Amino acid sequence: MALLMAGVSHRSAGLELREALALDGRMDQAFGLLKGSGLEEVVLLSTCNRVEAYAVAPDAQSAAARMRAFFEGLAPGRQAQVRKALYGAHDQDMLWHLLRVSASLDSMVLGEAQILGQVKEAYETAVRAGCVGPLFHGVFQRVFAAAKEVRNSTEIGRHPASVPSVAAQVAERLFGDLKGRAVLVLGGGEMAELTAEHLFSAGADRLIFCNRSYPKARALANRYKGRALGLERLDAALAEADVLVCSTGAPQALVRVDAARAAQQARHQQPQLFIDISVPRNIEPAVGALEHVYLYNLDDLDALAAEHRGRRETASREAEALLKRSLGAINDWMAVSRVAPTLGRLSAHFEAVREAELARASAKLAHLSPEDRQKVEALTKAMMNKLLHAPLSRLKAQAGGEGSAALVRGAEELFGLDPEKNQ
Amino acid sequence: MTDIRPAFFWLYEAAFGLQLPALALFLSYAFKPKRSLALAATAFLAASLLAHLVFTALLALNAGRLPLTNGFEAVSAWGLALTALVVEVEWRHRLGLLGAFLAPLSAATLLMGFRFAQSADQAMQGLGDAWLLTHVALAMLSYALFTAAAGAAGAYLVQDGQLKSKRMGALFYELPPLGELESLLARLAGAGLASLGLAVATGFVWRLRLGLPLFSADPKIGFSLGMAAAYALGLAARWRGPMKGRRFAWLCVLLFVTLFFGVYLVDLYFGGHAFLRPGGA
Repeated sequence: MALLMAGVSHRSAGLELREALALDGRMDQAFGLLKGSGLEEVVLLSTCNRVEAYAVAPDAQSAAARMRAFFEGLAPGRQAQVRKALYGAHDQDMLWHLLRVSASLDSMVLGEAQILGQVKEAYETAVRAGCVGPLFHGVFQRVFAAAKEVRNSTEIGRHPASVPSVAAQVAERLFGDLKGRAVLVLGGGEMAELTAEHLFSAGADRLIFCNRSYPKARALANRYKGRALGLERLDAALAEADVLVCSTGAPQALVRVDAARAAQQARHQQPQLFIDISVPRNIEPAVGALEHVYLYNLDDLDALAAEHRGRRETASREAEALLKRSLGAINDWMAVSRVAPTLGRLSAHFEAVREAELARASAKLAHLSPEDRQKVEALTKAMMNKLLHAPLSRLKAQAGGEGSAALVRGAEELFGLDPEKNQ
Repeated sequence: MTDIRPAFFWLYEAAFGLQLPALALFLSYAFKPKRSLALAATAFLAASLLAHLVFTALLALNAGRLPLTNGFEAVSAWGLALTALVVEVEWRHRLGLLGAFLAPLSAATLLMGFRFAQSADQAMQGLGDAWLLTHVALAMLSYALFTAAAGAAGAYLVQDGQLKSKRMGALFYELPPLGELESLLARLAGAGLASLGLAVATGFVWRLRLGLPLFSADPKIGFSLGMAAAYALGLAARWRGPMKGRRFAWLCVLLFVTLFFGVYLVDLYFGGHAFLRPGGA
């Protein structure tokens, strides 16, 4: 039985080809095609950065050819492009790839949090489609546990790596819980909106949108259940804001030090975080000198994001060491699960012999009291377990090793275990 | 002044000794924030607390009274309350780094106890009076709370410095958010002030019951009232705005230093309460 995978990702294919291969809306058809081509278990992963198929097949070579054909069929007329972008792996390499993907070590943004959920969703979809058997069930559960361990015990996903998420983190480190905090968004640029979205997700629930164009502010306010203001009310709104996100195209400063000082006085020196992601800057740099104002511009946030990416890189080395341990554990489990049917048959065979012998001797033991019968029952069980202990332990210990198959065959022959009969 | 160290004083020494590895581990945690370091440090601190508790219980059993009747016992109670506070905060909130700010202070308090033990006052008059014992217990609790406030203030200043300078070290991610530290600091200082206020009040009740004048040339009363007034003014200024954040944190550090050395000076060099001196009132 072979494990294998094939697919394309952001590393091998451009967005256009990934879009052409995306499985959204044609998942059932894809499962049908792959199961129909003789693959025993199949999981399909389709995200914006990768389209991959994982499979269990009796023979790796022919299965790999069938998976290639499957991918080529997904993008008719672009077979050459697909062939060039397609990569594959089998057995150990496939498991290693799946571990790295799930732990977000192969993601476009190293350590991003979504991929593990996406792999879990892919697995659940395959379960619902009836395409997951005992092998993939065991493998995927162990992969999820490994990815979770990486997430919990390394810093891989701890530090945000984009400017808007860094801004939200600084706000959280300043205020703690953002619930009830007022966020004033000045301007309607994409970055301002993204930052507002991150702050909103982090719990800030009082969003105020201030824009030169009132309808634009209104539209954003509707989206985030906030308030809209015209630019003329900026100074008044400044005193209310715990966080100011500033991203406009204005060529001059919109928030001057006098206005910031007045806002500070109005709010009795409560701290404020000013985030200026506009170029040219819209907040006078002198505002940062005010005692209770924490001013961050685009360069500051960019530098923090770069530092965080560095920390993620360092953490990824630690994560790989953890994944190597998990790979070993998966291999051990697979090896034991391969000999498990023989272990079961051997135990069942001994139990059958024990029960038969007890039944045969029942007439001779009729004079025994119920307590004595229980003692005999326990004695025979203890003898059986003692006799089984050595062969079972040896089979388990050798599982996955070079001599494992021969040992399994030997045990089956020695004890007359008939797979057909016992199943 | 006599050496009042009992035979089981080694328990107090052990309590202090156990604080040293805790301190080293908390400081290591500040440079390399590994959860295991903070856990080990808390375990050492908990062991120190246990030794200190046993010591205090034996002291009480031996004397047949609450051990709050001389300078050493009072300082020991201060250290005990502070260690308990640190263990409790670490156990409940697992902050790790806050321990790095508080552990040196609790070790320093225990260290101060050695000096007091060698030249402690004998038990005070009016010993069995519940008002006096309550007075001393509340005073020590207030000292512990002011010490914890100083630790929180140190953590606040580090976190504030990082946020202002935008140079985030490992501490940035380990310390609680600035807003939480500020509110913790204010709560600790407020609770300390309330405790000190009650200690002063119960002290006055005790004096009235003994027929002593309310005010006299008593350095300890003067010192306590001065500390209470300084904390009250600081908290009021914080509440009204001008003393928020960094300034309040610095004030808490400054007042703690004054408190720490003030207690030392007033008790050891000015003889503490005037009524403890022959002919004093």
